[in-house]
Amino acid sequence: MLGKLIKYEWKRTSKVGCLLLGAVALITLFGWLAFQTPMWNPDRYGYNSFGWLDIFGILTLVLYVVMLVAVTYGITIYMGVHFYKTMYTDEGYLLHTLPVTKHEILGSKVLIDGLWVLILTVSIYLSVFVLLISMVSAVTPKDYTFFRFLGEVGGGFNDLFYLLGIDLDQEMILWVVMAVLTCVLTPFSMVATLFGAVSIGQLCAKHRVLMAIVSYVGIIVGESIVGSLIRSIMTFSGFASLGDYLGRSLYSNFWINLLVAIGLYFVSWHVIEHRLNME
Amino acid sequence: MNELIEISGLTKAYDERNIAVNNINLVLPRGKIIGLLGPNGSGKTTLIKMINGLLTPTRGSIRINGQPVGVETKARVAYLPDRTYLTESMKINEILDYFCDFYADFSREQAIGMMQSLRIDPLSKLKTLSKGNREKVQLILVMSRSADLYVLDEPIAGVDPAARDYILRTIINHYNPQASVLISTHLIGDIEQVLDEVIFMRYGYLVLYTSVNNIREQHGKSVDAYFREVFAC
Repeated sequence: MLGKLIKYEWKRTSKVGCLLLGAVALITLFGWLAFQTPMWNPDRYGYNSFGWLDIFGILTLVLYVVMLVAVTYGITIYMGVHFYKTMYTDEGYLLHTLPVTKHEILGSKVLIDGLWVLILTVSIYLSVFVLLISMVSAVTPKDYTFFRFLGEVGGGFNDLFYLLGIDLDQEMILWVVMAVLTCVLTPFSMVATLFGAVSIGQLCAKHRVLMAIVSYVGIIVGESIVGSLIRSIMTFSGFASLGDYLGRSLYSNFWINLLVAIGLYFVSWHVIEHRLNME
Repeated sequence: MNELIEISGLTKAYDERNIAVNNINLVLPRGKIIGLLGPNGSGKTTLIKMINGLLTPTRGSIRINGQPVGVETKARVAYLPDRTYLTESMKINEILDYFCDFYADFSREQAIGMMQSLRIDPLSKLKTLSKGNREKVQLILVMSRSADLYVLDEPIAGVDPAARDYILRTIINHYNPQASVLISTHLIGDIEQVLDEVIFMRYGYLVLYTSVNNIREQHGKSVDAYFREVFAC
């Protein structure tokens, strides 16, 4: 039954997911266009005055940033509303009377909704990467290639890591593994946390949506406080280098997010298994 | 085992003063059409929601086919709620696929046949249908299952008399004869003709559970008339 639930969850969310992907593609085009105006490289274009094209370029860049933020928050809001609507409103009457386990229901939602957040996050990274290429080609001389830029950035990072006391030879694999794990698991932990907050809201007799929002904000603030506390403890207990401190901060944040998400997954499960009260 | 539903000490309290269902004990048999009757706020819908696992009881238990409410019972109970629970942007064909996928006892052919008799196009989206037709589609989906228990919450409320006749005909002609049908309503006069047994509820309490024939023989009245007598304001 899990496969069937996954299939229908994918069908249900794909319209909005594809729409948001289209929006990212569109704003990437806007971002690329923004760097095609002459003001970024007046020497190359032999153009020194500030004109309408440049105003268009700046406005387009502002639009790029605004739309990128809107897409990032948009997917979070959509996933929260979608979960609430399909689980706790009229549509939940069908979902909760299907002959499936509550873990299957929750699992399908965390998996598919998390996957959409992951896909959109990757698309946003790609969009920023395209913007970076566009920017580099706009502001640098003609013979300066993007690969040269990447090489210089890589060298810069190498120096930065050296200054931070990170031994890339020994720790590189660990850093890469942690970075990939964080990127892949964060979308899923994010939706599990969000769903947990929505489910906590359902424990209230009234104002369930408001309580869900308050719960979500409370969880995020709580996570930040715990993270800060752990970092403070690390600061006082001492660390070998700044890189050591950053590494431990990264690990602690990763584990806090993961543990909170797992905890809230079981909160959601408990609510729909033992405390379900459909209005 | 003739018992289909066993309800024991069932209570649903939202708070100390708001008790929707109060210590109900009930055993319902197979093969009967049972009316769950009572004025508004008597706890009918709350009881139905608990039977379907949509509300968690405060105390007590429900067993269907000897099993507590869960995956196994949901596979054998067909439930029609008092609201539209289908996604309105879905096409009827897609909804049929959904029911085929999740309910092993669902007959697509039967559902399509019933829809064709109402001239409802399976390719149309649910939101393009009138309110009455949407309700009929939901009823058709429920009655196209070969379930052990059909739970219908206010199936004839808010529809015109012709639609009521259609709904009642659909229920009688399409339910699995080995199964029971539990129909909640306060429109007793319209439904009395199809009932075998009745449950009267008031303020969350079970007032009466008896057969329709018993009411007619003992009290010399129709269920509707007897209901009016019992629940006279």
